[in-house]
Amino acid sequence: MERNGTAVLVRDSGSFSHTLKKLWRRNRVAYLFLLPWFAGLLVFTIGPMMTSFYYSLTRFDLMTPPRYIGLQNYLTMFTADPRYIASLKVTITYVLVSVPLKLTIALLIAALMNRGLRGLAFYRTLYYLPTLLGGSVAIAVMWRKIFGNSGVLNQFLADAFGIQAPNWVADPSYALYSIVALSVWQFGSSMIIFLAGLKQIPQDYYEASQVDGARKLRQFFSITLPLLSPVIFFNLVIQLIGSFQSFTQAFIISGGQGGPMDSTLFYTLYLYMKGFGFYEMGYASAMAWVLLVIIGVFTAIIFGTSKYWVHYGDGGK
Amino acid sequence: MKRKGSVLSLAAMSVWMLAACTPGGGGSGSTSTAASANGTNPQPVQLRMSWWGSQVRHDATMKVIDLFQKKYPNIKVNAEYMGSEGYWDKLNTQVAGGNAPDLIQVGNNYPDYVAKGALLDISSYLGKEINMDDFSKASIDSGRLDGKLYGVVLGMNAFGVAYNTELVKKAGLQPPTDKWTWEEFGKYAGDLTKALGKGSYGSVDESWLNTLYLTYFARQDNKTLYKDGKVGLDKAELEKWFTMWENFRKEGAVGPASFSAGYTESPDNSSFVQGKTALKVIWSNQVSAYQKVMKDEIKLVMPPGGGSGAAQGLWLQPSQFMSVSAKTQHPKEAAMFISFMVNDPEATAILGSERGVSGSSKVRDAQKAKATPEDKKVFDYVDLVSGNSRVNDREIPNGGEFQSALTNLGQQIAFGKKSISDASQELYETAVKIINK
Repeated sequence: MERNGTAVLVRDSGSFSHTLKKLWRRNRVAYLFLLPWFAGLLVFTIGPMMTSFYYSLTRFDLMTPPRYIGLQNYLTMFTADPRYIASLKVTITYVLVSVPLKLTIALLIAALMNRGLRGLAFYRTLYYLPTLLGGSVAIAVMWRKIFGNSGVLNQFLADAFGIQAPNWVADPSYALYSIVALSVWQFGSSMIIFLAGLKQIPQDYYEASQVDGARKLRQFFSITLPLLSPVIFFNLVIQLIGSFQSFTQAFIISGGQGGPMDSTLFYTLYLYMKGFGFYEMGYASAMAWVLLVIIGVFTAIIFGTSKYWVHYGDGGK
Repeated sequence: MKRKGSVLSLAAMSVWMLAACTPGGGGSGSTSTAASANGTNPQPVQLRMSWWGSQVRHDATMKVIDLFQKKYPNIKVNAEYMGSEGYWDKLNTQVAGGNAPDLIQVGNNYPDYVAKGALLDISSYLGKEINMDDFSKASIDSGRLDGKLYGVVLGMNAFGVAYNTELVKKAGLQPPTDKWTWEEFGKYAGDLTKALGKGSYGSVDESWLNTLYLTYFARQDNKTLYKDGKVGLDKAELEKWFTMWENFRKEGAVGPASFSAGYTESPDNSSFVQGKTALKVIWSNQVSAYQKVMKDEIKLVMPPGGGSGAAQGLWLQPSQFMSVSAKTQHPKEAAMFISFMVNDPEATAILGSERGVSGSSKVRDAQKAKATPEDKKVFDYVDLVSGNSRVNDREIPNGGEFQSALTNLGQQIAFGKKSISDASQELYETAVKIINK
């Protein structure tokens, strides 16, 4: 077969297939073990992604076959859908407020715990618990009860200080922040990672700086933060991506409506409503792709600025 | 020891799974012999049936399926049931994937599914496999669209204003009656608020909660939300609705926005259930569900009328329909099941009025004879409404989207973020957009 082709092609394909054969012989066990994951990636990730991209160019009500409409969905989103813009604002506000707040608290608690606390394992577990529970429906329901009209929080404020507090969950100016509070409360996983990072910082630096007369605060800003910056970077990226995709809390607390007054209409919640509630799966798919781009842009900004503030111990190599 | 046990159970499980995978597996051998003994020799048939509901409904429906299978041993009905949350998402996915269940419980949104070609026209089975001799014409027709029959009605409902008898007593007021106008309703709710004291309000703020209540209001002006493929009301009608509720808010008949927006008013998060409001619109078949989670007794009266010269707004609402998938392989057997479900004395006794009051006079009489006090309230109320109602209008297609806009805009008005005029205009435009989708 190969001999029938032109000389060049024969030589090329010969060497190419030779390389393939060599690769296969050397790594075939590894490939066999990887096969299920490759198959999974193709079937469950790449496949649906491509399908959803196609749907994003169509009008698709889930039941009748999709109809191609080009970029119409993307245009509608930015020109004729005020609720979409509202959901974008809600989500970006949420990300910009909750992520820095959560990371700051996680870092502070981690720094406190790193100061030779007795029973560290116990506290670590205690603070990690909300992260395990946080995504669950039960916690969101509980949150509604705590922050609701006659919730625990308002009872406490009224009894202890005589303050007539607003209904946090029902008031459009506070509803989003009650969800921010729920997210910040789940600082456990970031804290664990910070704690591991803090343990990596050699004690010598602190001792040396102490000799030079540096106070605790100075040490924190001149030693801890720079040496921890790769960990901060990692946590920031992970939390940012996660926050953009928040869904459960808003869904439960607002009863699936994103209310009051769309003040908790998260991007993903609106996407879900569009796709499954209003039978606009094409539009929902387009929204998903725009979200991917938005997350990509935010992540790229962080990566782009990282060379100015992330310091690797080995000089970044 | 432990390992041996797990190996055994694994083996047992795989055998069971293999058996389950075999089409018509299990009892098919014995059924065919039983059938051939009858001399009819029908083929074994498998049907899938899906519905949403509460545990009460699941238990009753499963019992009816067992009864049916005993009567027709060659037909096996596989149940796919769940709570109402996510039901349509799942059904939509199944229909899209071409594997919809043979028997599908749908609501008044069934025209959406007819438009998408998902439901079978079962007119040709009516009078043969499907017996609806004891059903009123109106109840049969509720499942018709353009002259074709797409579902058999499972029950009739009507909404009414439920009131908390204890709170009314506490306020020292007479219970409300069936003859009241919106004005009297507002005054009554306002009096309740005054008498009940801080933190409690006369009525739930219904301005954004229920599309159908808005429809009821419009019908009193001889308008409706959706008629003949168009929006059946104008911006002025929406303004009238919102203005009325705005006045109720000002008079204190209903709570302020920051109170009302805190409740979704489903039974698990309802100010009415928590005893913070005394009046709320509910469906007649929800009486027992609400009563179950409340310790104060509740009673139903008809919602406010439009005063002299107004049209009748109320209607009898078909609660759900049993429909057949357009893709089913066994339409005849599916039709037989539906008929059994709505006629068989034993089956209808088990199902009760949990899906609403039966459209069949025969079934109704049999059920009334054995009604509990709570059931009796439901039967009496539906009887009362059937004498005070006008034929219902089609619901707006993609009703979920309209409801979502109504909630959002109603709240914007209540919080003072949008004028009634702007919000009504926006809601009207949404309705037009949804219909033309």
